[in-house]
This record gives sequence, C-alpha cells and structure tokens, in this order.
Amino acid sequence: MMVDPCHHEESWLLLPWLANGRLSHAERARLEEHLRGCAQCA
Amino acid sequence: MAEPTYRSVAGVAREVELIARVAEGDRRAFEELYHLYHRRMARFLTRLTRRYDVAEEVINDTFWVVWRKAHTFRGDSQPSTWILGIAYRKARNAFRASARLAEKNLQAEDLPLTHDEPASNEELRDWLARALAELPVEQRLAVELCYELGHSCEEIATIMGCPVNTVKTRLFHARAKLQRLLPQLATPTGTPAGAQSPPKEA
Repeated sequence: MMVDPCHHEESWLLLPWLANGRLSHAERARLEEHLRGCAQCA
Repeated sequence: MAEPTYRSVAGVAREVELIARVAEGDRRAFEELYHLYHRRMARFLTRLTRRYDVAEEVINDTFWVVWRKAHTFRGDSQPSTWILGIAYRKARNAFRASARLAEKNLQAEDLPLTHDEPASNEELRDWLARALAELPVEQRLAVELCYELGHSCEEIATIMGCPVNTVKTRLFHARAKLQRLLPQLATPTGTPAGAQSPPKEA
C-alpha cells in the first residue's frame, strides 16, 4: 500500500493521544488505518 | 500510570457545580475542589519543579485565583483545563521569579546516572524521572499533561496557551529525546535508537 508521507508524519504526531485514549473516533480510525498499511510503522 | 484523570461526565458535572458554589463563596465546595485536585497537582508540579515547597506554593496560588475568579468560569473548557491552565501560568511565574534557583533544580547533574538494570518499578520510575529532568520545561510539562494527567491535545493547548500544533511538536521532540536518553541511562554503551526527523516547532 502506498503511504502518504504527510499522513505518516501526522500519525506520528498523534501517537501520544492514541496511548492516553484521547483521540477522537475519526482521528483514531485514520491513525489505525495508517498503522495497518505503513511498513515503517509496522 | 497513576489515577486516570480523564474525568467522567458525572465527575465533570460535579466539578462545574463546585466551581459555581465557590463563585458564591461556599467554603465547603472550595475545600472539596481543593482535595479533588491537590494530589494530582502536587505530583505533577513536584515533578515539574523538583521542589515540594515550590509545588505547594504554586498550588496555593492557583487555588487563591480559583477562589477569586470562580465567577469567571463559564464552562467553555473542562474544569480541569481551567484549573491546570491557572497552575501552569503560576508555575511559569514561579520559574521566572526564581530563575536561577529553578535552573539549578532543573539540571539533572546532581542525579548520578546508573547503569544497573531496573530491578523494580521504583527504579524504572527513577529512570524516567531522570530522563524527564533532561527535557526543557515546556516539553516536560506537555509529557506530564498527556501521559500522566491524560489530557487531549486541545486541552493541553488551552492549558499552555499555545497552538495545537505546538503541543504536537513539543511531544514529538520530547519523545525523540526520551528515546535517545533512556537507553543511555539503562546501559553504559546504549546506542541511541533512530528517530523520525523532528518537525520544526510551530
């Protein structure tokens, strides 16, 4: 899967709030979708 | 991680009610609000300032403002965001008032590095405390507000009075530095792990 580098950076910036459970549903869904498809994050 | 601070709806409603009563001069409500916040504020401010006396002074100054300004709380933000925002500004002022002393206390050089394996959670916490002490104050505060107190990015931006993107980049830089520091604290030859290229602070 092609990974948008901007989305990758944005995903890294959001990780602290994935850890503390404070992402919105939409942010969490986007981040989890990215994590599934990104070889760097896997 | 200690107590979760992501407040329940009922908990938030209770705090909003307490602040409304404080605005009317209700001392019992003030005491309850003080006790609700004292423990977590003391923990977070002590780690930030590394001085119990400064932490207590900041808490007292904060609650003096809460007592006087409760009538200005309109519920635009959560009570915890409002109160911690006041505490943040008071802590920042305390740093400025005793900059040299604070600087001295913020340096980690008085904490000897250890190369032992952590034998207990206490030692692990000690590692983390020493690593956190190496971070600039703004980054350390963002770490505490996110990981310890459980605030959202938007809430931290409100507390710190900065843009959301600044909070994100402060956390990013803090994570990158912790990623480098923790292996160094753990092993004599700890090789810093690779990190993402940090974005520029917004």
